[in-house]
Amino acid sequence: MNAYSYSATDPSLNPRSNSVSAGRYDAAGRFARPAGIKNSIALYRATSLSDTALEKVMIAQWIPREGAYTSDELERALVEAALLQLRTPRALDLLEHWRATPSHRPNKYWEELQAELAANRLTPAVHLAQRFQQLAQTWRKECATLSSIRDIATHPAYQEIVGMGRSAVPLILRELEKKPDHWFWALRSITEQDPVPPEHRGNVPLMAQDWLQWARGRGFRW
Amino acid sequence: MVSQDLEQLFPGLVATPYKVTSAATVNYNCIAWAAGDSSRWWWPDEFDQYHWPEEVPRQRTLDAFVQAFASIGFEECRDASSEHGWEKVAIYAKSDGEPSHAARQLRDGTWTSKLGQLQDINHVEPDDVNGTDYGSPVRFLRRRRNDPNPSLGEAKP
Repeated sequence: MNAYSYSATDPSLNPRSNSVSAGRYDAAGRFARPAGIKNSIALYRATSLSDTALEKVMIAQWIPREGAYTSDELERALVEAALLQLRTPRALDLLEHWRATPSHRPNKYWEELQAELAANRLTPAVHLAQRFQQLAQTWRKECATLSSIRDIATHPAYQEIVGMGRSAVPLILRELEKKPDHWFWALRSITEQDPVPPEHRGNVPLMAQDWLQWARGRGFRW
Repeated sequence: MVSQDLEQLFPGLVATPYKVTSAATVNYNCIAWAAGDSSRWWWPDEFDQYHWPEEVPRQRTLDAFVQAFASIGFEECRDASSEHGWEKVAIYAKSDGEPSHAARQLRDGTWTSKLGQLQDINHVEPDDVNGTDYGSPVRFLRRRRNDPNPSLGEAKP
C-alpha cells in the first residue's frame, strides 16, 4: 500500500471541494495524484455520511498516524462508517463481508456495496432533518434533569443544532409547535431576534407562541 | 419517566421512600417550584429570556440565588431542620460552586423537588437528590408561613 502525507490544509481532504488536484511531487519531480483519496471522497459523495461522521473517520485515521495514512485505510473506514450509518439489513450484511475481506479491492461485493450506498443516498434536506432529530433526542435525554439554561443550551448536541444555522429554524419551529421546549436560545442565536415581550419571560408555552407567531409573520414555513 | 429511571439519575432515591407528585413538564423548574411559582422557568440566563427577579443580578452565583429568594421573603438560616411556622428552601451547588437546584420543605418536614424538566417528587431529606447533576445543598433559607393555605406541593388538610 502507498502511504501519503498531507498537510491539514490539503484541499483534497475537503469532501465538499471539487478540487482533486492535491497530491505530492515524487522524487523525479512528477506530480502524483493520490487516486485512493479521490476514490474515498467520491465514495463519500455517493453516501449519506454527514460531514461530522466524515470528519470523525478522517481524524480517526489521521491522528494515530501523525498526519499520514494510507488511502486504502481511509477508504475502508469510510465504507464502514457509511454502511454502519445506513443500518439497512443489506448494508449490515455487506459490512460483515467487507470486514472479513483482507483486501477490499478487487472484491466481489464492491459493486453491490456501492449500489447499496447509492440507493440509500439521502438528500441534504432529509439528511439535515434526520441529524436534527438525532441531536434533539440526545439533547432532551441528557438535559432532562437540568435547570440551568446555560448548561441546557451549551450541550454539544444543542450547539451542533445552532451550528446548522438558518436551515435548522424550520425544524426547530416544528418541534416548538409540537411541544414547547427550550429552543429559545438557539432561535435567538441563529436569527439574532427575540420576539418575546418581558412579561412572557420564563413562561415557556407563551414564549413558544411568541416565536411561532414571529416566524409566521416572516414567512417561515415548517 | 418511571421511578426506576429516576433512581438511576438520582441514586440517593434508591434507599429512601419518595413519591412522584406531578407529571413531567417544561413549564417551570426547580427554582420556580421552590419559590412557589408553577407557571414560569426561573433562571438568570445571559440572554434575559427567562424569569428572574428584576432587582437581582442575573448571575449564576450563590449570592444571586440567595437574593432571588430574599426578594420573596426568605432569609438565610443554619440548616435543613424542621422549624414550626417556617418554610425552608435548600439551594444546591456543584463542586464549581454554581447553583444547580433548589428544594422546598413541606409542613410535614419532607421536601419537594422539581427535577429539571421531569416531575416533582416528594423526598425525605435534601440529600436524597445529591449527585453529579445537582451536587449537594450548600445554603438554607427560611420564611414565615403566613399563608393559612397549603403551599404548592402540599396536601390540603
